[in-house]
Amino acid sequence: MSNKSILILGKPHSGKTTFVIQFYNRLVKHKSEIVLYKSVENISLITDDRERLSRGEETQPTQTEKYEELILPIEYRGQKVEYRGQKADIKYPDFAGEQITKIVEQREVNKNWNKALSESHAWILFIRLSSLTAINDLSNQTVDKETLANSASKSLEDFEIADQSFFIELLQILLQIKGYNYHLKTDSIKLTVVLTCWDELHTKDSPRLRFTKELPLLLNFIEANWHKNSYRIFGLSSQEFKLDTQEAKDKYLDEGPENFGYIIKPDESETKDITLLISEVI
Amino acid sequence: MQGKCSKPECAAPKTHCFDLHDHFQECEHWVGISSIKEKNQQKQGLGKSKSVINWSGDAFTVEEIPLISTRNNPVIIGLVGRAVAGKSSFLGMLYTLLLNGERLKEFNFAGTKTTIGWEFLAHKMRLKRGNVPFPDPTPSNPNFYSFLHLALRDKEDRLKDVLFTDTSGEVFLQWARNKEDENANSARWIHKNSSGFILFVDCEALKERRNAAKTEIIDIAQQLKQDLNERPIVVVWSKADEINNVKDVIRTSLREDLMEIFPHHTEIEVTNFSKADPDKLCHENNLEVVDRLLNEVLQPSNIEINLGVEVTDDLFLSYRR
Repeated sequence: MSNKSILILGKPHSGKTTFVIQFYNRLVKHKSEIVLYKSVENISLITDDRERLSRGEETQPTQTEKYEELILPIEYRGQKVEYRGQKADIKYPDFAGEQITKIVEQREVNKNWNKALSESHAWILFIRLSSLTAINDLSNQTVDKETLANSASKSLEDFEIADQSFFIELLQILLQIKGYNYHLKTDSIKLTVVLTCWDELHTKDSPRLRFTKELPLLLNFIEANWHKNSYRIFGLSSQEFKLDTQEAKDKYLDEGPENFGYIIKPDESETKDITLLISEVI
Repeated sequence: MQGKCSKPECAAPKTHCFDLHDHFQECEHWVGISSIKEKNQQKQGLGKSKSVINWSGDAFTVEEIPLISTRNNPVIIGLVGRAVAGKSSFLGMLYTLLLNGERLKEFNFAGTKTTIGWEFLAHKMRLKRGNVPFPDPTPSNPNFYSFLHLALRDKEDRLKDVLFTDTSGEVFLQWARNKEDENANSARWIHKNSSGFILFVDCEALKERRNAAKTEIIDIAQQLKQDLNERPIVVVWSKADEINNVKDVIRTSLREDLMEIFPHHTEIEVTNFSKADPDKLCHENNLEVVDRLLNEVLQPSNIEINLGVEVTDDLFLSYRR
């Protein structure tokens, strides 16, 4: 049985670090159906933040010079007999997430990415909705024409593409590198969209509904290019709550970070087992 | 004439040269496509970039159409109309509506190879401190015409590629007056190669310049009619928030004239200014234009295929399962 390869993708500060620490913590404390089948070669990328979290402190934004790759070699040992023993490598081809922006803006894909993409079976895309830029335009605002009479700004200085366009372009580029045939919807690359920092959204919406409200064209793009059973949308709160009060910090200090965090599954049910995000794509 | 300006503040070839050169190649900041390719090849040689992302995201030039046409036969929609008639704004609004969750009736959005080009137009529909910088008039350089791409998937999941033309309005007037005008290359190309057309009727111009504006529209329509061969046309009354300020006599006579020129055309009013949410003219009609046109362009022909099954005594030919 060949190892599957799962890529974790996301812009900088989209919650990738906190997730991997919480995931790793559960693995090493045997709180998951997944185990490490060998030790992680280089865990130094998350060591400092892991210590921070165990002290009840927030993780720090990953330094942009950390272009290193992080690989977690995992094995499924859960209830589903047919998948038991299945191994996979979880890869962060670029831990800081800076390369992602480079791929879209400079249209360069480095060797690490190329290799990781060509070997990948599943992509997990982290999107932090609360950090996206809200756009007001003529299609979502009712504006009196007279108030626009002084329209003078024709500057392109602040030209920046919308977040949705960014993610669409990113996925298109990744699909192209993967050799995707646009005539067919794909089922060979499993796509998981993870809406991170779910607790920040204060919402009762399902992940899919929230995604539809905030990034409708991106969802439309995914629906048009992935088979129905090949993509899923989750909500994730790796930390469960902000660590900005002594009470919150105490919880982490007393019970350990691995006891916090939850995901909202596509069927809207909530579970504390955040490793499900991974076990479902193995 | 492909390439890009290396000067950050200059958007050539999308706009005129910042340093006022008539031809981009004369400008010291112009980087031709060959230099860009060379640079890319050097990079590949250094092993920095193994994968070639073969599209830039910008609006296509005519030479870039094969990026799409090699995988599919694209539907080309020609946007025709005088300058400042709202052609580029229509495209900007179309993408903005899609970004905001409006959908085409029969198609899902499956991607675009011109994301940056769409964003460039949509950017101008965005509100900044109460102002909306509408797209600059598309440059009247006769060699400049570009294409905005949409990949769509129909209800049966079949891929359809659509290219919308974006070119200057002045060129259409020149073309309307002289089909062979040496500066009307882009209009000729669009007329020859489009599968369907959107003809823009600018309500604001009709309000202000009345019969003069009407004459220009009729001139363009007459030229468009030549060699049309039943290719569909949607007449878009743009800036239709002003339509009631167009004199009745102008409106009625223009409608009659257009009906005579294109007896089967569809007419749709659009605006970029919504009065409510949802607003039919703004939120529905802009997309309706594309729905209608694609529906007509893509509908299968009604020719019934005669299979010519004959009754025969020949056992070999009479074989049926």
